[in-house]
Amino acid sequence: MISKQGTGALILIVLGFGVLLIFLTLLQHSVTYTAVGQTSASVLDEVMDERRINFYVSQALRDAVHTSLQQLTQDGLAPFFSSEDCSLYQGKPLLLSSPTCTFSQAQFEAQFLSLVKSHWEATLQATSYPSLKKLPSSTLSLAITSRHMDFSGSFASPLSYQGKHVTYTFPVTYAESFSYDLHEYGLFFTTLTNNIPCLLEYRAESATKCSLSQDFIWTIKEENQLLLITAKTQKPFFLSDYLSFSFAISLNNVETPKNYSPLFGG
Amino acid sequence: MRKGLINYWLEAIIAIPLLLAILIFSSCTLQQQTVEESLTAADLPFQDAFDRALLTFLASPLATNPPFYTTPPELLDKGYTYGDLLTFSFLSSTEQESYRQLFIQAAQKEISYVTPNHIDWILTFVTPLSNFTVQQQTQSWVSSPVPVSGKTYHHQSLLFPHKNTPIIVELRWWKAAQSVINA
Repeated sequence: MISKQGTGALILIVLGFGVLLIFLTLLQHSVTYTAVGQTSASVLDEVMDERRINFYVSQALRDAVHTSLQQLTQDGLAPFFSSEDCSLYQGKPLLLSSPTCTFSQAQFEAQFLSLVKSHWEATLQATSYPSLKKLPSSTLSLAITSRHMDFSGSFASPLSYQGKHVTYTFPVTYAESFSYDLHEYGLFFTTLTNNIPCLLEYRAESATKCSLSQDFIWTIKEENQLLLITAKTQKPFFLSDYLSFSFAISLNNVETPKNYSPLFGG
Repeated sequence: MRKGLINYWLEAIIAIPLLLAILIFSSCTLQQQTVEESLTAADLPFQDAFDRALLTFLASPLATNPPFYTTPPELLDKGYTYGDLLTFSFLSSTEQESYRQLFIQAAQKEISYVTPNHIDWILTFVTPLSNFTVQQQTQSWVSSPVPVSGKTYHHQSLLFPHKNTPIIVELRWWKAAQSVINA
């Protein structure tokens, strides 16, 4: 049998180690919760938001450009010829039917830029970073040169970030380049302008006598004193999609472009 | 008269195994906590370094002649970035999946190059329709598919623009198995 003294000693030993264990455990916990580096890591994380937001804005711009290019493969000429500027026949613009129903580089660039900007702003206004909730006004410019298309701009005022550890403001700028110059449009209009007299003379039956660009597959039909023309690119335009222009030309009333400036030297 | 220590044999039989059990238990518990603490203090900058590496990767142009995977011809010489591969939401689901696989393969290689071997990570892309992951690529004897220490760090790395709802990119990381054993 265990004596009283032995029992007492045993209880004291067990209690002593128990207290030691609890003490050490609490000590370790206190070290874990005040870990060195945790606060500075949080600060770094918050400071990174500037870079994250700038990336978000730039990537949204890239997305908008790609969405616009894809829209061109779907709509061809439609984004550039509204029913106010151009009569439509079966949904196709009746090209060169009036002085406003023609094509110029300035008009083309302005309308493509407007298309991109509308897609871009829609993406930015979707729920994302709190700093992007109230978007300031912004600039966006487009420069098209041979084989390149460059977009750039900035927000008119800086954005502000309010975190747990830091508060700061930062500028938002963007400059994105794309290996597209949309020369297909210039080539198409150059060919069309140069071949108007030929097409009017030979019409659909003998249109092959005209010097139409070999970069397109031409389909020409005649209907109600109109030439219905489709020009589809031989090569894919954007990813695996082709660009296709569908339009009509009146055989009786063609407005010859006077101040037409070919796009990009095309 | 007091008994001699030798006569407390019954107490000793109970006390010694009990003390041993307490010591073993406490040493195991404290060792594990030390591993977790050292991971936190030493490796938290990883999160920042990873986010920077990820942003750099997303903005990088596609490799024209990648060593381990094939870039489809329609993506060549057009100045696309790896981030662009996630934004073609207007494509068919088959085409999107094909570009997504290309993205996953490239991310696995490129980001693994700049992250330390002693950390394993999984990046989850939460898209409006489905999720997909990119996982750290290391040698099998070093990495483990799940955290061994039980301590995992979770963090929203960034938001990625997408049609109507941004893609949420989440990072989960932990100390690799081999490192825990050595710790």
